[in-house]
Amino acid sequence: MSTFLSYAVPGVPFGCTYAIVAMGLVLTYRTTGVFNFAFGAQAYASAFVYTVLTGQGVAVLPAFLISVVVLAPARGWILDRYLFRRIAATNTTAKLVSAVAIFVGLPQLVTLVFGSATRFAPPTLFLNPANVYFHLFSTPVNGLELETVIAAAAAVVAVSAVLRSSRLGLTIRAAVESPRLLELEGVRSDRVLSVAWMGSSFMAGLAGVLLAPQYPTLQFNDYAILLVAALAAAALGDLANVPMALVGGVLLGVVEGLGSGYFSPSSIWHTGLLPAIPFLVLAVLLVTRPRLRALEDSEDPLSGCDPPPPPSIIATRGPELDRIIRLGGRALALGAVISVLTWVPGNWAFTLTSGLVYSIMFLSITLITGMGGEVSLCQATFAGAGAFIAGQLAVHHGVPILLGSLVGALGALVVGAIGALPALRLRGLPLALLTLALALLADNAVFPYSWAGGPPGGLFVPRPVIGSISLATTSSKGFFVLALVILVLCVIGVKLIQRATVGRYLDALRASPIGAQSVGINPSAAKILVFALSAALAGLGGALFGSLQQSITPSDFNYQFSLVFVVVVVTTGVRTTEGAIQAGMGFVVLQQLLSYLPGRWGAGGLAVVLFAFSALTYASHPEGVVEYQKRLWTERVERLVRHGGQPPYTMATSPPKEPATAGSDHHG
Amino acid sequence: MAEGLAVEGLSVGFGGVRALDGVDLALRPGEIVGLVGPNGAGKSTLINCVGGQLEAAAGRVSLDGAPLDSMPPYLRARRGVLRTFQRIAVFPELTVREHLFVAVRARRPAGTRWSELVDRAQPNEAEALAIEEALDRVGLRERADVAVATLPLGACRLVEIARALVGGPRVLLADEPSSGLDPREAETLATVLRSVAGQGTGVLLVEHDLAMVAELCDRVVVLHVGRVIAQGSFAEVMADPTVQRAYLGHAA
Ligand SMILES: Nc1ncnc2c1ncn2[C@@H]1O[C@H](COP(=O)(O)OP(=O)(O)OP(=O)(O)O)[C@@H](O)[C@H]1O
Ligand SMILES: [Mg+2]
Repeated sequence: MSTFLSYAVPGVPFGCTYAIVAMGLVLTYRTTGVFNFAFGAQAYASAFVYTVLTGQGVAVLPAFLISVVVLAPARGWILDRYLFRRIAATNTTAKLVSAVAIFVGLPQLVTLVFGSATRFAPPTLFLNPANVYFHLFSTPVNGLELETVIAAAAAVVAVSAVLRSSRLGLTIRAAVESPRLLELEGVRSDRVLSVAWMGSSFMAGLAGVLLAPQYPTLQFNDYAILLVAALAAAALGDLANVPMALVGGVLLGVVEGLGSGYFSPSSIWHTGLLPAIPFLVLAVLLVTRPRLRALEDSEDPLSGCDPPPPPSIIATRGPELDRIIRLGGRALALGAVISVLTWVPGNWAFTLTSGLVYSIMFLSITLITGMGGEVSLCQATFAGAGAFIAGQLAVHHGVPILLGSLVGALGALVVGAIGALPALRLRGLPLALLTLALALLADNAVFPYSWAGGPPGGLFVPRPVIGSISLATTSSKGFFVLALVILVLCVIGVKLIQRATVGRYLDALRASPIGAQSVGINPSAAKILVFALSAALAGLGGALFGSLQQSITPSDFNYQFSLVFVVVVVTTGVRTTEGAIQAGMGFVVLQQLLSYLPGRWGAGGLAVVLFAFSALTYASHPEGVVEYQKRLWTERVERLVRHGGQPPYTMATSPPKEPATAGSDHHG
Repeated sequence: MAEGLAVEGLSVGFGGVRALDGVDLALRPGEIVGLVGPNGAGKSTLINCVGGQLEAAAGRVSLDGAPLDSMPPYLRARRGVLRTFQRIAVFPELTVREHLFVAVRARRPAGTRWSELVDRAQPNEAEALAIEEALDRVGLRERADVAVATLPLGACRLVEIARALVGGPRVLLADEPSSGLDPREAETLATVLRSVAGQGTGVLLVEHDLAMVAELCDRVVVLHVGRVIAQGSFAEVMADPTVQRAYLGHAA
């Protein structure tokens, strides 16, 4: 018994931080319908500021006040005010993409501003970590553990008191049911929403600062895991039940504590299963709890009053403009190809080649998000699957890399199809969460093994040899041509599907799943198909990426890349194949250009920050901000050429006047 | 074996609310049955159960004697159970013609073929004929090639009707199809429903416009808090005191 407790007790403080974040997640989700991925980033940002301030000799109390009491709620207020409030309640994809963008962009921004030096654990808030305050069933409880539990308990008591007793609490609970009904009652629901955002952001900040002293150094990854663990805890309470989320958080911490106590540190359980527990729990809950499956169906009785989204750019772009853009694009592409083959220096040729390879991977997002209408957060995992299969086959069985890449793509296809099975009944947010859980599962429990992700030093992936031509030379021009050919083939493939009957089915399913099913379209078949094909594209791109880099490690394909990929493609345009190519090329070119900047500005984070902030416009420009600008400028130029004549077609930036309430019937 | 749609003992609850409580209903081929009742009576819930969008807690739904209960909505559609939605569920980016193409193609009982992954999404001859006929019926020929997002609500409702009837349904479930229609569109709707029924389709019409119900329906079923409280001809039903009480409130 005492061993059991001595293993369980150290898990409690971790569990308490999970519980605080879980509570914040539930609070925002229930009040605003936004599932705030950004909480992990917010917790990290507060922890970071706290660490920096205390590192500079600021006393603990003012550092705490600045980082948690002032900054955290301020961030919540800004997020609500300038971002999430502008997104229609029913636009799940936009809310999701925005939250992912913050999750990706905020930590990079923090690093840009403060530099990337290693930061060591900050001091605790008010108790001495070295001091054992008492023994719980003969297990020593130190200051750090005690403090975390006390703070969590205080936060819980404060929040429940506010929710239960005050008028504000009542309005928040009403806003949870339907902000718009509340507004009809004459209550300014936006003020309530602001308060909810500030409150939950405060909790994220608090959890961040409590967690910081528990790790030797400050790493964003720990906060990403904090988020997922909190997610699993919140899912235990169906994202609705605060007390259950609390219990779930603590339970999860205890289970982890027990696991790390009982499994010997070298066992497969310790290295593989233990870190994956929160993701496993989350994945299982998502698939099995009916309430979580229904997250997608807005419970706001007035949500049907939203006008339909404006028709996308593809539907409204006039034929002339289409031709101009296409011609311009082709001229540019041709110029680029000729340049690479003639005068472009080696490092730029390499960059552009990797742009082509990224474009192939990004096409997988065109398929799954642009055509399938679902956000997947595990595309980098599929890419990794393709790359590792190709690499392992080449290293251990001497399979030529091009053949290996195809096998890798096939392998990813199978993984994607299998991964789609548990996701069949999910869509929107729960589906995205499930893909994230799968990505983390792979990162923690599959890729670290050398039979999968290769030896610690990296897995060697050879360059292709075609006939007597080896592309293994230092110049990557041969590889450039190869990647170009493969990319063109992939683009043709995706375009074919877009124009085919199946493409129409996907359009229908994306626009209105229940409408599409009501005419006989099989949603499961479509989902498996899209997932499988998209995974295959990602896998193929991943294998080529490996071959281009010649050495890969699991960290080249971890879940953060999946998030970045989504953000980048969404920024440039997720609906067209051109969007994917622009995303691939833009991503690498921007990074290469920025690398000329001095110091930390050139370290690579800036490109991600730029893309992340552009992705925040997704709600207003679902066609992609680049696509939108392109249209704007071509139209301007065209009008100039026509001497101020009538524009040949109108810009569909606002929905048609008489809203056709395109949405699902209220019994999804 | 009964021809047409048969609903027996259908019950659905939402938390504490009994939305449907042992509802029986029969819809023979070629018959137009009006389903009326005050707001919240359970009309849409009934349609959702028949269409497969909602799982019933108890009861059976069958078409021509074959049970539909365990079928997902898309299989029911392929069997010929088609519907429209009270809150419309069109595909804004597709044109009217594309709506009809998707609908007529997807209903093919064999399902999707691999070749449809790379074909040009063109209707074959029979499908093209069905599409043109449906377009003419609802009078949307001139607007056949515009994105539905640009159409007003009334036209969207007609698109849904056309989408449901393009493959020749066995059963058409229309959930308040006339709401948001202008008088001319409502006239078109009435003509369409009558001619669809004339071709042997059973039509279940949920409608608040009682004049339209009186004009179109062979039989009327009155639903009130999840129970059938009366059925018969329009005149019979309207003369029923229970129905009057349900509509006018409990004071009457
Ligand atoms: N998804 C749901 N969750 C909870 N209750 C529901 C749900 N859908 C319907 N209800 C309830 O079930 C009952 C029947 O609703 P239904 O929509 O079938 O009524 P209706 O007859 O179609 O009304 P209306 O004429 O307003 O369309 C109502 O009390 C409604 O509030
Ligand atoms: Mg209804």
